[in-house]
Amino acid sequence: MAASTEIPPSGDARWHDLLSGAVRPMYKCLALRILMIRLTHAYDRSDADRPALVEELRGFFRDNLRFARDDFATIFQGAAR
Amino acid sequence: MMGPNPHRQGQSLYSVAEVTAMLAAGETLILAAEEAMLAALPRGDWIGGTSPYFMTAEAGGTYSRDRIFVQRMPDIASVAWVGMLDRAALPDMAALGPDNGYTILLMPGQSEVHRDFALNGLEWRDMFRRPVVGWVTGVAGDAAATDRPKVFDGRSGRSADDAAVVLHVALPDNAFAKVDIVNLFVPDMDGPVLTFADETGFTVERVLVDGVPTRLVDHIAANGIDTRLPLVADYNGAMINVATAAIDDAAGKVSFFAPVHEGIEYRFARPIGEYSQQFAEQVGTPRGEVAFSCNCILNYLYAGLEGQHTGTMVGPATFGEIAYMLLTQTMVYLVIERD
Repeated sequence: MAASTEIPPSGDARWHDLLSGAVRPMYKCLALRILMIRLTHAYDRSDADRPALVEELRGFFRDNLRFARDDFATIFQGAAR
Repeated sequence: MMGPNPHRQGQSLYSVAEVTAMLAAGETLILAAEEAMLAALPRGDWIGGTSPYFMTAEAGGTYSRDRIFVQRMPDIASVAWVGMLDRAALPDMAALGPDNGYTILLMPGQSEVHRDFALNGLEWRDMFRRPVVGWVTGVAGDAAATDRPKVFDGRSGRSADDAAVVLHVALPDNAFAKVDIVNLFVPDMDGPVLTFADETGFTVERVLVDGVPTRLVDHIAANGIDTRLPLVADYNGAMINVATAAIDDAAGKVSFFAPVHEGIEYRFARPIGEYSQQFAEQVGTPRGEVAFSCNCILNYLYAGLEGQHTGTMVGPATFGEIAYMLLTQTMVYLVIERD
């Protein structure tokens, strides 16, 4: 459940690693596979509102953690930086 | 052999009288049928869209103009919101949904809402807050000149060819919904990468073939490409198809059933073998209760699925599938799992 899992704060560098494409996990859930196409393309634009994109991705995990748990674990194993 | 499937109980073809009885008993239904069948139903907790093609457990692929395909809302679910949304309101549809649940969206084929969703739906606010599935409605080939694809809202008794019908379903805290797809097509990695820059959307003339500008019609003709095979893009491991709708040699343009987008790399798909067998193998037996599924009319037609079974999945054959975004030549399903 989302309430029992802490979503890393927006300042965690791993959000930016994901959105910039510096880190490319093999996503398992369909929703994340599709969402990340849009977010990474948006993040790459020179006029991107990157904090808003991080918040959107954080929101995705907050709202959908029960079916995105495996992806969350792959990305955020270990303590938030 | 198709034995009884507890996951699919009650999801099949019924007469108007039988569906009327289900509604009178308080069922909430997602329906597919020809317009006259849906128009004959009483008001009640149902949404529907036009299609006379179905995948059934009993008979496999079936064409019927006098029966209605029924998908029942699961017993543990409840209606959070249902209604028609026009072009102006649809982009805000997520705001009407529950904290926990899923959304079923039906859109008339060839409508502005269909077009808007295909081009911009991923940008709409909170579209990933909960699973979104659905389909694009259509009409039988011989009725295309006279009939319009429609959607129906059973509560209001309205039908429309220019608005979407949305059913937001709420689930209890101990359950959650999850969407997945079955797509047998994979990109032919021996073929070139196709990208679209200056022209995107449902109809294009120019394409970059491994970076070289050319006309797509010329590329297709020169390479003898079978356009029953879709363009396929790899969305982080999800194979997303764009099916060809028509080639206009005179105008030099190719139109699609879903838009091509800038920044996405496409390849034409590799041919596949025996569709129904491969499909059944790939879909397997999904975990959880299958609350919704649909498969593309192009799979039905191109793979000759009439009378063929495709495993445990049943549902309408549709003119575009929705799993957060518009898909084509794809099967979409939603399962409900419990914690």
